[in-house]
Amino acid sequence: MDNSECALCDLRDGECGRVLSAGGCRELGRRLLDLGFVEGAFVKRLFAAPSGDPAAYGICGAVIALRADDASGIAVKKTSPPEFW
Amino acid sequence: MLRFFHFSDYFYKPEGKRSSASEKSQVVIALAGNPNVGKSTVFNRLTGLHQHTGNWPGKTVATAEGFFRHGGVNYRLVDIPGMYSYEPHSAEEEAAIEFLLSGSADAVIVVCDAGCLARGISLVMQTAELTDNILVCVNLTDEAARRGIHVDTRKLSHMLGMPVVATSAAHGRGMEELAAEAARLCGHSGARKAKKPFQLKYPEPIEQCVSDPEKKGLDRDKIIASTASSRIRMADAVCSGCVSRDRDNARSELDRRLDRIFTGRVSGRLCMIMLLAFVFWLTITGANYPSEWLSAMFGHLEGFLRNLLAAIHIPRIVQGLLIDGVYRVLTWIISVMLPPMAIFFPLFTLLEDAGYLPRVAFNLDSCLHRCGACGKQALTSCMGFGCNAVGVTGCRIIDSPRERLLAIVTNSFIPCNGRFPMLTALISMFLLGSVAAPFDSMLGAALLTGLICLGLLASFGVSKLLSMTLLRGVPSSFTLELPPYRKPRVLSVLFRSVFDRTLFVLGRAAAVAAPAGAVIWIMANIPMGSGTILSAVCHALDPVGRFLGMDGVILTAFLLGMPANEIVIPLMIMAYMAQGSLTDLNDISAIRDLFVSNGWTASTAVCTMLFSLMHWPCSTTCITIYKETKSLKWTILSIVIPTAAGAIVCAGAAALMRFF
Repeated sequence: MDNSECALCDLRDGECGRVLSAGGCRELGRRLLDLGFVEGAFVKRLFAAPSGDPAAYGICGAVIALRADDASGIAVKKTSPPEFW
Repeated sequence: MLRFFHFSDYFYKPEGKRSSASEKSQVVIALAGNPNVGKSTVFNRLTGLHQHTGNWPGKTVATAEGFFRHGGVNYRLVDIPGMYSYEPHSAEEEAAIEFLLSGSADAVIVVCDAGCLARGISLVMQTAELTDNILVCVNLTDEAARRGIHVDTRKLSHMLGMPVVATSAAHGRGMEELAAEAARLCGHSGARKAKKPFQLKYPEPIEQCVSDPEKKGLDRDKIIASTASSRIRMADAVCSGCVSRDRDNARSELDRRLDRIFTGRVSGRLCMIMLLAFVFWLTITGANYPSEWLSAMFGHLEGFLRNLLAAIHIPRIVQGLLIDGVYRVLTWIISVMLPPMAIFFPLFTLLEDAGYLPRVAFNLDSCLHRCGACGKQALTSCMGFGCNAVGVTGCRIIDSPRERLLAIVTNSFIPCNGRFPMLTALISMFLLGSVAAPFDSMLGAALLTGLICLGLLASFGVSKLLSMTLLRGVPSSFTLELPPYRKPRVLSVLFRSVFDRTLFVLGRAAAVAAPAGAVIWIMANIPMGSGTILSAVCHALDPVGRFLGMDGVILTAFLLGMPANEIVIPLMIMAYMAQGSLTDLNDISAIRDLFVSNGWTASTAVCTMLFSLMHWPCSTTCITIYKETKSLKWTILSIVIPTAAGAIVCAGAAALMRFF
């Protein structure tokens, strides 16, 4: 597994990552924090919509859909999946 | 230790006075929680009310209140729309949070999803900064157990220092304990636990910053980010102590497999259309028989009533008013509108309950994104199938005011249940041979699906146009939670949709239809010049109607049908009958003959259907739009835009069909 850093939207289906920083504009940033995209959180890209955007991510036990534009502000470090996914 | 109200004063100031609990005679309990954790189901179970519930976040957009009794004490329960934190993102969230911050509630029940506990606990921790009287309700335990997730509520209660009750509100499990525990918390039965609830300690710089508000070391965003991540981290730590997971996670696997079908590149799009067509097919085929029985029955009853009225010497004019006016409009609505409604509503509610609707929003988002709108507009459009007024209110789930306006203005392109049976009736009268034949009913479903898709396309197109002209702006962010699939509760759905929705809508239609029937009968029978008032109006509107591929009578019916779209066709029938050709209207084919003898062709039917799809919203919807937007300009635009679109489409279609 390569441990490179990338934006959340660059993960491929099924890949996991650990959130490094949740950025984006103020309003979106707060929304993402509320949904659990905080530093250190595990996130997994699950599947994409028919047109490829938005994509659904597993975080905090829930499935959240984000557009690529919005997910590009979140930096993640690719990891191997945690024990329970 | 940090108290939340310092914090809230720092971030967000609720307006209005703080009222203490002693000012009120009743005990007020607030029901808070993340979206889609079943707050409304808990609410319904406790109060015995029937708030609408659905498997998608944002179903409840307004606070609801109800009462329940426990141990001889009355409790007022307030159901608050779901939220993720005490940082408001929209006016409605602000209102919900304000209610909690104002201290109006004596106790707060925080409902958490057992399958996604960490996020709920994070909200519990934030609530703990606000009040000591918290009851944690771990809901959806059955569903979580099927996913192999088990919550040790005793341990959780110990760790949080708060009472915790495990419930499964959908099945009524744990509701007694919840009520008892809530009563204990309010000090009305048994002693309150003296234990101090859990308080989260934030990182030092933030604690300092808040205790000394003058100190400006950190900016607001940094504080929010830091507190949010501390909360989630702490909530994770708490959860890892009391949540156990089975290794075998077959249920979540099943969800992902379903998602691959419902959101797949080809299958996702195909499923949307096929499901829609299938629902329409069932509706058209199934509604046909009861419609025929009902109209035959009402036909016989009409003769009987006529004889009865004549026998007791009721004046002819009153007879006409009651039978031709009120009775015919009412029975039309019952026989033609009720069966499709009673089939379509439950089917649609089943899809909603199963959790399919958010997937539709997910699939359509890129389309709507390109039109400058929000993906959640797909959800509000879906609600528009039930009632456009409800759809307009539902637009509150869209945070950005610009995108919310787009959704509100374009909502009436989706035919509500008042217009939808009219479409099925016209399709089966003019575009099909006989509905009973399986091929024809499939063709009917296909035609209806096409028509609905046209309405959807029009709403996309108008969104695009508006976002390029009047509502220019960059699309805002889009976050949508996709809930797990749930097995719909078929019986409860049937019960709910028939009694709550169908009968309510029918009652409203009937309440409007009876006076409208009387009014139009009077119009049709008061002489004016060479004809009657009605014929004069129809005559005046005739050129416009002809230009749009219809006639004056149809246009008049649409105008008079503004209070409720259900009465448009009965108004047409009455207007035609007043013009001379009296027919015995025992079934649909008689109505068809009546229309044909008044110059209807397939092209007239097509234009009428198109106009029904795109014209002014009904009066209830207009009032709702005004309430939601608080702007006369946008209310007028929501009337003008669909009407203009309808006029253009109808005139175009009429010209095209005249040409061929």
